[in-house]
Amino acid sequence: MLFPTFKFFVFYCLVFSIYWSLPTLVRWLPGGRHLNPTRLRLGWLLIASCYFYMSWNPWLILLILFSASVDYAVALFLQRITAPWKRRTLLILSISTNLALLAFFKYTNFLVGTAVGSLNLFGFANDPVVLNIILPLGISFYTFETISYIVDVYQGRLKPVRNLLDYALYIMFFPHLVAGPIVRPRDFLPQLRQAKRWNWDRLQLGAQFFVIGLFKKAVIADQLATLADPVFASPDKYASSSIWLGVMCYAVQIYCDFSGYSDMAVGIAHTFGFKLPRNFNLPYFAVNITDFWRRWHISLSNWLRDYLYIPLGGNRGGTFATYRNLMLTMLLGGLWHGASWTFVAWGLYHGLLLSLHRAVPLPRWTGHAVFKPFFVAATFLAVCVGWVFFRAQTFAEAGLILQRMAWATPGKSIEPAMFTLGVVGLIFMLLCYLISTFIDLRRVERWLPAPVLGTAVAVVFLLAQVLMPEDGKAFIYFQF
Amino acid sequence: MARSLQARSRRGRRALLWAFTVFVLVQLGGGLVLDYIWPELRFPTAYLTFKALQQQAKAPDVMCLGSSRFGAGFAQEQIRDILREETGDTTLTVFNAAIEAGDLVTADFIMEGVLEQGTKPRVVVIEVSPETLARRGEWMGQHVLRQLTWEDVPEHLGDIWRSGNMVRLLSARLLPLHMHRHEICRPVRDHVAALLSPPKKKGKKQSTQPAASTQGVPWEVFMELDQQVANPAKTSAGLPVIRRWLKNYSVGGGAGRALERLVQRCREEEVQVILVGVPVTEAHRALYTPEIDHAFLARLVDVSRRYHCRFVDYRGRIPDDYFLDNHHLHRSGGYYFSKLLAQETLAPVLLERREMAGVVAADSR
Repeated sequence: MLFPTFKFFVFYCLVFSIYWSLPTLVRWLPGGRHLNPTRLRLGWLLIASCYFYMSWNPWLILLILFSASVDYAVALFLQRITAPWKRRTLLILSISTNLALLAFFKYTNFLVGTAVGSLNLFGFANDPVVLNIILPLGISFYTFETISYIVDVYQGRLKPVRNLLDYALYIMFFPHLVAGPIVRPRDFLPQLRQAKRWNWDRLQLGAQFFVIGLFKKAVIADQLATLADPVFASPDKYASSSIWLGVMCYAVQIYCDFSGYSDMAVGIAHTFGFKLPRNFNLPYFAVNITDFWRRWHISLSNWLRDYLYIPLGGNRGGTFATYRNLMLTMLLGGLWHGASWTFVAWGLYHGLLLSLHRAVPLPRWTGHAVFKPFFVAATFLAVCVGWVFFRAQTFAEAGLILQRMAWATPGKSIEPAMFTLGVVGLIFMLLCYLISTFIDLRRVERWLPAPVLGTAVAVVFLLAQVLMPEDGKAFIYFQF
Repeated sequence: MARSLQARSRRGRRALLWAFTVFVLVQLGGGLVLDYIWPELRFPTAYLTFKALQQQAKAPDVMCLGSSRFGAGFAQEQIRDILREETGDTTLTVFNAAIEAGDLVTADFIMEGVLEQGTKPRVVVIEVSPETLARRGEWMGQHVLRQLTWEDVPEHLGDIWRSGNMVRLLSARLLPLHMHRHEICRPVRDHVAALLSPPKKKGKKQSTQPAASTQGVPWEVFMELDQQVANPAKTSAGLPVIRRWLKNYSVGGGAGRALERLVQRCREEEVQVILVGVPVTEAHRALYTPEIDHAFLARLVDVSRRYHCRFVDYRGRIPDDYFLDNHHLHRSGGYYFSKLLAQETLAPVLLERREMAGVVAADSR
């Protein structure tokens, strides 16, 4: 059930209307006055979230419930047990269970294929066995959330949740269930205990987020995909200029696709009275690669920093250890995205860039504002190179694309109309970025009269409805 | 602080109300524009057909109404040539007004539009089959998008419900700009593409294929394909869909009403109607159980009797070799069917009409 579909719209309307009218409805039931409206609402949200997840595949709900139950139980034990070795054992048990499930469903075929490929290098001629394993939707996201919960409880940063309903809803809350943002238990769990009051302002804000996210995903991302997909499918046919345009369009596509989804998720959560963390902050205006990772998929990069990089030692173990930890963190971050060596390469590439940025300090005068556009452009280009590995199916394909980017090569040109679409899309995004950078849009939004604001939201929604392509594409991050 | 929160809440509510109102007004307004001012955006093939007919020097003598089955099978040039030879009328013209996914409701719509623009054929050949006369109304999904307006909804609501197209109806009526976005954006896209495309080189070799028929809908995709040897896989392709269409079969509904309205209107306009059971493969015909056949034929006999029109059944007349799939003829099949139709049915009807006209003229003197 994708967000921009009629089916989801019906689902959302039903969930929303019952959620907010539950306290009034139950008052008519015998004994209804004694029921806690907040708990009722949470129960309803959990039921709705279960239905949402089961609409993809009904059986995989058992997996997520099993994973949630293990962590819930382990967290309660962790609170009671004081012996360090027992606590560590429980922590390892919980994390291992979660990672084992993730490894099985996501990486089995990858590991088998790699093992067989390695054996083939030594002369064994075997075809890899491909198991028909369904990848549970959102497994990468909710696995990280469960790990962050259990680690926070272990480290005493968080008290374990007593109520299984609360914990299950933290994991399964449908706006962020399948593609994030990766929510921290410290940020979300307290919101479950707050009474939710109907708030028009919040509803309006949620609608704004949703509509903007829809426009980004359905109009910009899906339209640019029509240009980028053929280029990546047959890079050997296209000229260098077309390859460059295809790569840059993919960069904008993946940003709009993912940030669009995140905006929609944040907007929907707002309408239920929940606040999800911001996941993107104009990443393509980053002045260096470290800045990029503070702006791109913020929830993931923060998670990797707090639960991988810092536990590995961070920058506290000396120079070599710092770079090792950076490379390892980004390697695993790349692997998290997909079971393929190209994703690993993408992660390693970013690890290398981060290490280089750390290792090569730039002179202070380069921090002057006049150099900023240059650094922004350089960072964007470096990130685009990384996207080649991210998007390409094989290293050969990635190599071919990079070769054509590096050396002017003749070939097929993109059709003029598509070319114009790509250029217009890129310019449009650049303008949006510039506006967002130099104008405080929140202040503008607060200053706008209600009719203007409402009309603007309606116009964006209408444009999204009219300009979205005939065949909408799935969210890129759903595959992770 | 509380006052500020209240003020923001009021503002939020007003903004949402404005957003909702603007959205609904633009969608409904856009829908009315698409229904009454630019209906050609909703149903481009129909309006191409109307335009092609308007550009003809005179009204066609023979016109066919149907779906892609007739689109593929009704070779208008061949029929024209045969009828000119048979009748001796060298000015005789034939027009294929078949529309893809067109059933009797579409045929009624097309005929209404044709007559409204002052074009009156002498003979109308209407494709009929058990599927297109079914109460279930499988084509309702197309109608809600293409031609039904708010006025038509009450009449067709039952059919829309039975055919499981309520969601489509709601989407088409309440979100017309979204549902027709492709057609709305196409002129802009085509204009931009034309501006940006390099100019065509002069002296480019013209295609040796026969020019597209003067009708609006290009049926070359079927006419260009030829298949001499029957392919069981192909001729039975699509049967599961037909099976679904014939489930719990009964005649009537919107299709039945459309047929009666169509033949009634033709009768009023003195347009001769010939109902033609469209050719299908053996495997397809096997799905017509005796009950289905009985209901279908009984209705057609009844309509023919009441409205003085003819029914000729070509459903089993064409060998499977001539089919692309279970119900579309390929080029040779189209020629074969067209020849049969022209010689056996159309020519005698036209000759009879000429005789009657001659008798009437003699009587009036």
